[in-house]
Amino acid sequence: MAVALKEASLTPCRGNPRRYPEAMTAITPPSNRLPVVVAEDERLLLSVLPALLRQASSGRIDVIHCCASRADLLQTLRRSQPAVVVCDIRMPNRAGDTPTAVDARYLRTLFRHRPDTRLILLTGHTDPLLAKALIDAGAHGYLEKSTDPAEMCRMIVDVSEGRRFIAPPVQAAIERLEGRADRTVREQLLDGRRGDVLRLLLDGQSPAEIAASLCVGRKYVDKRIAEIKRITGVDTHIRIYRVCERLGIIDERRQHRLG
Amino acid sequence: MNADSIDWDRACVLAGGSPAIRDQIIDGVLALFSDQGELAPLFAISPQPSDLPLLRTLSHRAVGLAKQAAMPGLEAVCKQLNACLAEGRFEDAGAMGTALREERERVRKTVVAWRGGES
Repeated sequence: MAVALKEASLTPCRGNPRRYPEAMTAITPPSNRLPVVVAEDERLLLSVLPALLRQASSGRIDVIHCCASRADLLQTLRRSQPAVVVCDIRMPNRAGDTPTAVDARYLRTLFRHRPDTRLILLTGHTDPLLAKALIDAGAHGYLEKSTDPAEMCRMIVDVSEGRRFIAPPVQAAIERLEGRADRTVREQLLDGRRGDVLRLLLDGQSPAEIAASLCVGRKYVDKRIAEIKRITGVDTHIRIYRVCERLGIIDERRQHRLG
Repeated sequence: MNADSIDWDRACVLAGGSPAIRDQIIDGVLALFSDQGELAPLFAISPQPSDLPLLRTLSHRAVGLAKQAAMPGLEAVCKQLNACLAEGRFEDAGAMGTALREERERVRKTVVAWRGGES
């Protein structure tokens, strides 16, 4: 099978292999153009994305550089200042390396280089744990690779104007994950004697009062409270109260008392 | 023409409405899936593969490329192959190589027929 990859419409400018011809961005006045850097290790996609984004945005989006590795992207950010970086989530460290998912540390390095640049991550396979970690680390957008180019262009413009956008399927996956995590935390908190200690703590009893109520030693109560702090990830009683409020434990306790 | 081989409307949408970019993506994907292409190792996976990380990377790439080119049949086969490799079912993965080649041929014939019909 002989299928040749046509690149005629994407001939890079002479002298700078990553810079694309000015003529292709002529639809929108230069002052309105949005400088964007694209980082994608799939050469085929990298070869069409600049034209695709330019066409779908009627020339508003100007892909100023294309990068095929993380090192390449960092180097590019040292010498150029894009408004937005659109980056594949799986990239090799250097050309030829096996692609791996970017992590929060890499994102922090990117933002250290260009704190004002907005970052959109592209994913082919939604991993809610990774997505959550990267959004928490400061990613401004999280899109699926199969997003229609016109939609992708709208998101790039939105993100450049300060908004955040998470693709609905990714958002739903994160919410499902958080729901599952909440259920697990809840079950652990309310398990056995630990649950009894927690309920009395939420009723406002002191550790000494809890020990007396449950006919156990003070040390035993302190140990259970330490477990509750570890599970909730907080270190004060008021914060435990807030976590339990979010998990619905407070409402349940109130209804139980009223009923 | 197998209707499931290529979703032409979707392919055009994914190419930003440009037939030229659509054709560039389709041709590029078929080149990568050719017997001499970068994804060719996926056609012949041994029951005890020595290059598992490479195969996993390739199958992951294959899923993304088939999706980007709006080739649902090829995408489905690639996803199954990806799952076999992830779960360590290498004999099944080996058998999927044949299915992958067959599906690629179906896509190629669809493209040839489509272009024949265009002229």
